[in-house]
Amino acid sequence: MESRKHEEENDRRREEGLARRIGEALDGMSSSGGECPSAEIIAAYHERALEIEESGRWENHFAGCSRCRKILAVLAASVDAPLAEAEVARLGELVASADRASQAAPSQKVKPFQPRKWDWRARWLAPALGVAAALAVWFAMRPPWRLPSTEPAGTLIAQAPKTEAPQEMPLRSLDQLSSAKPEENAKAVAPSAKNQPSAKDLAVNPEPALSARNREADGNPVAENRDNLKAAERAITDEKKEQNTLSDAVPAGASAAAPAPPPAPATPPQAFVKAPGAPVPPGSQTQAVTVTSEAAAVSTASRTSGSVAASSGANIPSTARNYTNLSKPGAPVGIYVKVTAPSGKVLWRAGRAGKIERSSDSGSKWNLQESPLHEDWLAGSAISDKACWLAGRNGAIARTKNGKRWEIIVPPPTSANTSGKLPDWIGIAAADENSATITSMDQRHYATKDGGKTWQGQ
Amino acid sequence: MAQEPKSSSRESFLAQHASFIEALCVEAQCARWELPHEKFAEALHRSMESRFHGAAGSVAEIQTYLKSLRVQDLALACACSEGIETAWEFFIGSYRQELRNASRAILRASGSADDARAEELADSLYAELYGVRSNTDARRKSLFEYFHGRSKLSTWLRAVLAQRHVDLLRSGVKTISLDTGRERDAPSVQEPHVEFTSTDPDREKYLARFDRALSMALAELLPRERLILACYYVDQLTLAEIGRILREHESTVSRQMERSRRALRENVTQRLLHSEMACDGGLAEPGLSAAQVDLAFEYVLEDWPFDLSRALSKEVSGADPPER
Repeated sequence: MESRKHEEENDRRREEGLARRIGEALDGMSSSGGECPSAEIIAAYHERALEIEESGRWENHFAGCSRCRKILAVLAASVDAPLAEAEVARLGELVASADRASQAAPSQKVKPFQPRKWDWRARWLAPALGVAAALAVWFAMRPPWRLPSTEPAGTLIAQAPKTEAPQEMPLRSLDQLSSAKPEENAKAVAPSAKNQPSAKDLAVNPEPALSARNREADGNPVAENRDNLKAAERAITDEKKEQNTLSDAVPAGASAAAPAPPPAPATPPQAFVKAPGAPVPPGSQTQAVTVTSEAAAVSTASRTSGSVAASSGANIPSTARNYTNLSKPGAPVGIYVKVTAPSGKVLWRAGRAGKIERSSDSGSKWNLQESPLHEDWLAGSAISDKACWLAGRNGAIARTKNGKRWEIIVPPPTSANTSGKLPDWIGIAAADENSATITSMDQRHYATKDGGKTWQGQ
Repeated sequence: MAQEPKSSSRESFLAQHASFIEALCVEAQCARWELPHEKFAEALHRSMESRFHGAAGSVAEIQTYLKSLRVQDLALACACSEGIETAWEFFIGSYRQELRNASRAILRASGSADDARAEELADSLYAELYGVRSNTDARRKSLFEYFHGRSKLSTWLRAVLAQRHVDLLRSGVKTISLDTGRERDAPSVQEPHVEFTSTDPDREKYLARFDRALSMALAELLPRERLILACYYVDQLTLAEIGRILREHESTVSRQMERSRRALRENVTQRLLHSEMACDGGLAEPGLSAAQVDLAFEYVLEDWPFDLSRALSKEVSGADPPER
């Protein structure tokens, strides 16, 4: 410590000694500077327009030429544009007149400010009226509140005949679904599907379907509902234009090989589902996630199992009001997530009630895949043509490694709240088959590197 | 005789870069001033000559250089040099106020706030910019001919003003009294002049060796580093002023100077510790011990390094302003 202090003091004194000699030593080097440059060179040096070698050469001269240094200093100072005396005088007059005006004002008796009551009211009246008008429009555009139903949510593409209650119908295999014809499936509609509104109906009379919980979770701003309505109307318009039947359409509620949890009652749909960007791990091959708005979504407020049973919708009669949705291939109704693999040719889309579809021709044709869960899928991330992750409501996470079979990934246990309820995942970013980061609705992040065996909070 | 090689080089330049010059003429908007392309091409040739100093540059090098020029300013200057009225009107309208502002700033930086003098300084350029005829040459020679487009025309004009102002000051310095000159050139460390008598017979040797080591260490610095040190220690400029000269932030200048000082200190120390080759071909001087090096630095601190007469002799014998 002492020696360091002594060294520092020593260095300081040496630098002070150097400082006394530097000026003279530099002056002694001036003779080697050569001829002074022209104004052209000085101006170009000032603008840093000289080449490096040329600039260094002239700096060598400037270091030894006090005249050139003085010119450079004066040139640098000439950039300032001080005001002329007349301008200064004019400014002075303006300042003086302002002072006179301020001095004259206090001579008048100034009454203390007393805000008028009606002013205070008027200040809040306009925004309150605006909010009231928006609420009125919102209520007018959406159907009345529904009580939570115990029946499963309606299928989106119901083609196969359905003879039993939705909760008893397992998910169909992929082969069965792909071979189902629309005509056959038209009758196979769950009874409960009758109560499911078509996208058109929803667009016209959007359900005020949000439960209180969802509203709290999402905020459900009015603007988002408005956007949803517009998106649904666009979907209706697209549906009307498309005349093709679903060749590969399958009921969304096809049975699954894996035991499905008991279906939750069909609850009022949720207006809008966001899938904001989750934090992307470095080197991630995540593809863009496109979320299409859905006018009607399933609320999870009254679920007991945390999953939504997918009804195949096969029993929907042709005269059912949601038939137009079901008969239109490629309709984005019920789709919340669209994920594109790096190749661009393979796409996945997923959405309501666990629906998962895959396309291997850039979205021209879609094949329904067997979903391990009946939850709404809200986010996805594809690493390759075969590997993809999905995340959704109530802690739902699934992954496929071969592009066909989906497996459930256990969510982080610590993400559950005090009542054991798992959060809705609104974002997922995968780096590879085993590494992914998920984001909950309340912006909590969890990452795994071993395929979901263990999770770390971020 | 001297014209022959020049005209042939100009002709070869014009022939070799004809299409490129035509493109530059369009870019420079020569048609705006009705400036003949030949005149503009001559201006380009002069600029090229000033850059390469007669050395043959490759076609690519020349064209790269020509592309870097401020061709629009060059065309305006060339048109003014040719006496084209529209160009002159534009120049007066655009640059007059800027020149006056620059003059005002220059004079205020020197401690003079006289607006009338500033206008006089600015307006003094116009005659030379327009051109004067010498007794030997009937052709009017304009100051614009010295503008080659390597910088903006406004910067060049300010540089010319700065040169004139500094030269005016320097010519007046010779008549300033000794006291004033001493104050201006005094080192930053203000200490009374003390006649120091040391009992150490090697003191002068230590100081001389120190100065040599310092000179060699300074020579090893980069030119920019030396320039910063010169601006600070010789010209007594502040870090902010140095930053404005170098177009860098004050903190950058400060850091660079710290690095330079540290490098100098270490370099000088090492040189003193190691043996030194004799300048006159004699025996090399052995290196100093650490204690002797400390002593040398102490002598430097004690010594009043400033030689007033020597400094004044340098100031008086400073070279006259060179030709533009």
